[in-house]
Amino acid sequence: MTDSSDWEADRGYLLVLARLRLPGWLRAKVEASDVVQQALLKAHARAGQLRANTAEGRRAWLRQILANVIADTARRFSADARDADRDQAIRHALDESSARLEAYLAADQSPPSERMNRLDELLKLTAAIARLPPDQRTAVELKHLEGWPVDRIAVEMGKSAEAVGGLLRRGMATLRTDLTEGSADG
Amino acid sequence: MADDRETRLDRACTDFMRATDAGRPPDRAAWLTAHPDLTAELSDFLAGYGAVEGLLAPLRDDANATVDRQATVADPEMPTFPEGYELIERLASGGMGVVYRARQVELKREVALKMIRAGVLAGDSAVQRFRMEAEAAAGFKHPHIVPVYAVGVTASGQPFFSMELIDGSTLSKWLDDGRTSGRLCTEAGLREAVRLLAAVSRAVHYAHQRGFLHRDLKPANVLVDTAGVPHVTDFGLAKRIGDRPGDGQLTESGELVRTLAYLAPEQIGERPNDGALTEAGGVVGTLAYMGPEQARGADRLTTATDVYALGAILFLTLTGRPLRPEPLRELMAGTLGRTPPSLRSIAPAVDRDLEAICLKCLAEEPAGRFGSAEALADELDRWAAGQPIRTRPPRLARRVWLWVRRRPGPAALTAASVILVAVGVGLVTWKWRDELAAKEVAQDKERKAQIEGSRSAAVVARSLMEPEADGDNRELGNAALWWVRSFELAPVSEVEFRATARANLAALADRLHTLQTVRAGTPFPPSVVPVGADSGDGRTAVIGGHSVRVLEGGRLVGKPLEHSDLVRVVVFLPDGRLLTGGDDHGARVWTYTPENRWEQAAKLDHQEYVRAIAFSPDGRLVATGGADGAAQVWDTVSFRRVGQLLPHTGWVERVAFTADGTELTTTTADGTERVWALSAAARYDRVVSLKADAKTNADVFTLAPTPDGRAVYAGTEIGVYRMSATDPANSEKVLPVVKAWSVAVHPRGDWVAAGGQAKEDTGWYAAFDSQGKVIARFDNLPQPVRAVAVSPDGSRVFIATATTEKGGIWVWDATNRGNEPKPLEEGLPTWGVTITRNGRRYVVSEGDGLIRSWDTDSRQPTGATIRHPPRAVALTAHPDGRRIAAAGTDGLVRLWDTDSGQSGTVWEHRGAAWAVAVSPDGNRVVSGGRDRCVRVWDANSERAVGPPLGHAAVVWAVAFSPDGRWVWSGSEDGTVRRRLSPPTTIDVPDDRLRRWAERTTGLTLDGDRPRPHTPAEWASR
Repeated sequence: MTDSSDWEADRGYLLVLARLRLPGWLRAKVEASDVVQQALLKAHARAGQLRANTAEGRRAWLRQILANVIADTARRFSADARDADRDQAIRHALDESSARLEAYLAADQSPPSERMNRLDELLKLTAAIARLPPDQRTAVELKHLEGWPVDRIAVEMGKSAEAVGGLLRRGMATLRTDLTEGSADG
Repeated sequence: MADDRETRLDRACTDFMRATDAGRPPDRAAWLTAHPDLTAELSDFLAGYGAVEGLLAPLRDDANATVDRQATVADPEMPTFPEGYELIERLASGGMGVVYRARQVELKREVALKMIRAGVLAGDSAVQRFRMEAEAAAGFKHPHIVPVYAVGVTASGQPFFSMELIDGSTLSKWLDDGRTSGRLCTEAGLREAVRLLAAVSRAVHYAHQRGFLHRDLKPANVLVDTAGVPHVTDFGLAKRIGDRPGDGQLTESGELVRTLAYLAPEQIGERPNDGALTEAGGVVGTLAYMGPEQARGADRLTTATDVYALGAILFLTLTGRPLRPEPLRELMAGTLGRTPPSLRSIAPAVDRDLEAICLKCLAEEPAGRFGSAEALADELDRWAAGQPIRTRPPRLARRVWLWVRRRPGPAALTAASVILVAVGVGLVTWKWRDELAAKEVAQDKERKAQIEGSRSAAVVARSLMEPEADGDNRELGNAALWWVRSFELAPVSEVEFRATARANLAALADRLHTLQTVRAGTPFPPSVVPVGADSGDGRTAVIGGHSVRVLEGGRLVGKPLEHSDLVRVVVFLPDGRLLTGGDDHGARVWTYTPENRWEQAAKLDHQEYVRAIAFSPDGRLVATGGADGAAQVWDTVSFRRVGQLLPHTGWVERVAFTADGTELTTTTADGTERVWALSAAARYDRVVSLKADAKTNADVFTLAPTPDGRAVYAGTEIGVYRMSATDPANSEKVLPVVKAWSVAVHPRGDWVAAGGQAKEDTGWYAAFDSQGKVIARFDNLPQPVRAVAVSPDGSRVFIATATTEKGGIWVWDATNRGNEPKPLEEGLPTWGVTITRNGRRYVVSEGDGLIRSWDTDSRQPTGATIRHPPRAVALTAHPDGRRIAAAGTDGLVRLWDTDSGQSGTVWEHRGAAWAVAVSPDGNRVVSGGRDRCVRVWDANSERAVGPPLGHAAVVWAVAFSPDGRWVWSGSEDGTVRRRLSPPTTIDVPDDRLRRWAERTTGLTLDGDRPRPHTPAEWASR
C-alpha cells in the first residue's frame, strides 16, 4: 500500500519532470500540473498493475504513465493523429531528464529528507517560471531550462540581445516577487 | 531619465550574461562598480540569476558535473589532481568543491581529499588566506574534529586539503537512519544522540577558544564514524568564503538549501528589499556586493552564531524536520531566521527540557543564547545523564504550557488549545520586544501588538499544516482560517507578514483541491472546524480544550462552560443560547442566567463525537450530527428529538438546513451528501463515479439537465450517459461515442443533440430521442464539434467546430432530420456557440478571442463585436435574453451584453476557465476550470457565493438544475457531482474568525484561565 506522502512525493517528482520536459510548443497550451494530475489519477486507478516494489521501479512506472499522458496531450493539440517518432522522443526526453534529476537529487549521498527539500525548491521555482508573463517565461525557459546563450535566444525570439537581457532581468524580478508573495493575489 | 536607466540596466545584464555564456564570467565586483548608480537592481538580478542557475543548470542537457557520480576521472573543472595522491573514488560534492577518497602514495594511507572548486577562491590573496586558515585549523588536535593533514595548491593553482578519512556517514544520514530504524524514538537512542551533539558542541568550543568560528555548521559537516563518534569537519573554510568579495559561482542548490537552513539570524541581512545583500545571498554568489552596513553586520558574528547552528541541528534531531523547510522562499520573503517555531507543534512528544535547550540556542538575539558552546554541551550532557537542567522556559510561557497540559493531555493538542501554545511562543518573543518597546512611542506599541498577534496566528496555522502521524491532515481548512487571521491582524505596512500569509493561503488552496483528493479516492475538500462562534450581538464563544469561554467586547464573561472532553463545535442560537458539541458524546445547550452565569439546560445524546450542529432559519429546530453515523433533529423548546434518528454510513461532518427550513442536508466524511425532507426522511445520493462502471478514466466534458429536472445527460470521453437527477449512480450509456464534447437538450426535452470528436480529427454530430433512439447521426464533419446549441423554439441546432487552425458554424434543421448539417460560416475555429433566450441571435466565440452575434433568421452580423482574448471556450445565454456568459482560457468569466458589447462583472479562476452556466433566475453564475474548482458567483456583484466546490482534477462541465437548487459539475477526475447551490449553506466560519481576530490579539493567564486582550490592551501592558 502506498500512503499519501508517497503520492505527494510522486507528484513533486513528476511535476519537475513535466515542467522540464513538456515540449515547448505544448507548454503554451497546457499546464504541467494538469498533465501530472492526469498521470497521477491514472496511476492511482492502476495502482494494482504496479509490479515493481522498489522506489526506482515505481518511478519508472510513473514516468511511463506521464510520457503516455504527455503524448496523448500532444496528439490532442496537434493536427497529426499519431506520430510514433514524437511519442518516442517524448519518452526518451523524459528518461533523460529523469536520470539527471535522480542523480541530482541523490548527489552528495544526501538522505531522503534533503532530497525532498531539493525537489521542493525545484517545484517552487518551476511553478513560478510557469506563471511568468509569456515573453519573460519564454526567455527564462530558454536561458535556464535549455541553457541557451542570450544571442541565440534573441534570434529565436526575434528581438535584440538587449531586449532579451531586459526580459530576463524583469523575469528575475517577477520570480523574486512571486516566490516572495505567492500567487494569492492572482 | 527613467527610460535611459532601464536601457542601461538591460544592457548591463546582457553584457554580464553574454560574458558568462562565453565562459568568461566577469569579475562581479568590477562589473558592479562600473555601474555605481544601478547597484541595487543589478545585485538583485545577480542574486536571482545565481539562485535560478544553481537550481536548474545541473538538470540541463549540457550539465554533467553533478550527474556523474561514478566518475573515475576528475571533473573537467578540476583538471589536475595534486601530486602524490591517487584518486580512488569520488565521495561527495558540495558548493565549495568535491571530496574524493584518495591514496597518499608516499605514506601508503587513504585520505579524504577536498578539491576546492575553481572560482570559489578568487585571487591570490584569497588563496593565501585560505591556506593560512586551513593550516591553522590543521593545528587542531581534538577527538571530535577531523584532523587536517595537509593544505596545498595544485600545479594548476587549485587549492586542496587532505584530511583523515572517516569511515562512516554524515550526521544527516545518521539521524535519518536513526529515525527510520526507530532508534531515535527510544529513550536510549535519544540520549545517545544528545551525547553526540554535546561532543560536537565541545569540539566547536575547542575551536572557539582558539579564535575560530565555524560559521557553516550543519549535519553534512559532521561525520559520524562506525563507532558512533562524531567528527566536525570544514573548520576555517566557511569563514574564508564569508569575507571574500568577488567570488565566482557557488551555486549548487543543494548546498544553498543546506547552508541556509543552518544560518543564524545575524548572518542574514535585515532588509532584503533595499537592494543590499545578505550573507545567504553571498552563498549564491553575490556577497561580493555587500554594502558597508552588511559588512558591519558580519562583525556581529560571534561564537553565538555557531551556537545557533548547533541549536538548528538539535532541532532536526528532535523533530526530524529541518528548522527551515523552505529556505528559498523565506530568503526571498526576507523572513529567514525569524520566529523559531514551537517544537511541540511539530513533534508533540518532544521532551520539554530539550525543547527549552533548543529554543535557547535559537534565540533571535545572540545575547539570548547560551554563553558558549561549552555551556550548551554541559547542559546536553546533564540532560543525557538524567540530571536536572538549568535552562528554563520563560516563566509565562511555561505557565501556559502547564495549563494546556492539565486539560487535554499533551498528545491531544486540538486546534483551540494550540492557540494557547502559540500565545506562549508569542510571549517569549514579547519579552525582549517589551524592552525595546519601552523606548518606542505609544502608537507604535499597538502596531507591535498586532504584529505579535499576527505572528501567533501564523504559528498556529503552521502547526495545523503539519500532517499527523498517519499522514492524514484534516486541519488544512482550519490552517487556512488562521492564515486569514494572521493576514488580517498584520498592519498594512508589514509587507512580509502579509506576503507570508498570502503565500501560505495560496499554497493551501492548491493542496485542498489536489493532493488530498488524489489519495482519498472520494474527493472532497476537508471540512472546516470552527474555533469559535459569534452571536451577532457582540458575543463570541471560543473553544479552549475541554471548556468554552464567552467573550463580550473582547472580555470574558461568566465562568467557563466545562465539558468532560474536547469541545469541537460551538453555535449561538438566535435567542442567545449556546450549543456546544464535542468528544463527550453529545451536544449541550447552555443558557445565560441573570446571575451572569452559563448553565447547562439540556444534553442531546449521541453515541459518539459530535462535530456538526446547525439550527433552522426560524430557530425552532436544531440538527446534530455525530461520529456514530447519526443525525438528529431537536426542537429548541423542550429539546426532545423530532422524528426518528437519521442513519448514515460514516461520520456526519456537516448538517445544514435549507433556507426555507423544510429540508436538512447532511454530509458524511466520505463526501456523500444526503437530503432529508423532515416529514418523510427521503434520501438522495450525491456522487456518481463513471470510472467504476466504465472501467476507464473517463473525462466528463459536458452536462445538460432535462427541462423537467429528472435527468441529466453527461457527455464523456467514452459516450453520452443519462443519469437520474435524484440518484445519479443510476445511469445508463445512451450513446456509445468517443469524446462527446457538447450535449444540449431540446427545450421541452423531446430530443437531445450531441457532438464531439471522431477519429482523425473529424467531428461527429448526433441527435437521439428521450428513449435513447438515434434520430440523426453524421460522422464526417471536417472538424471536431466543440459546442451545440438548440434554438429556444427547438427548430434548429447550431454547431460550432474547431481545430486550432480552422473551423466553422453549422446548422442542423430539426424539422428535417435526415438532412445533414449545413455550413453557415467556414474559416475560423469556433469554440463556443449559444443562442440568446429570445431566439434572435446566435452568438459565436471565435479562435482569435472575438465573440460575435448573428441574426438567426437573416444570418447577418448584428449587435456588438466583443473581445474576450485570448479565447472564450464556453458560452451560455443569460435568461434576460440579451446577455451571455463566457468563460475564457485566461481564467476570466464575464457577462457580456450582446447589444452594447459591454462587460459587467468579471470573475476569476486560477488558470483557464472551461465551463460556465447561469441559474434559471439569472442571479447566479457558476463556472469551473483548471483550478479544479466549481465557483458560484453572485451575478449582480463581484462576490463569490459560498466556498469553491472541489474536484480532483480539471472541471470541464457545470450546470444548474432547472429549479436552480443544485449545481452539477463534471470533471477530468471521472465524476459527476451534484451539490446544493451555495446560498443555502449556513456556516461562514472565516467571517466569525475574522471578527474574533479583530477583537482579540493575545491571551494572558488570569489565575489558571486565559484572558483575551484587544490589541490596544495588549499594547498597554
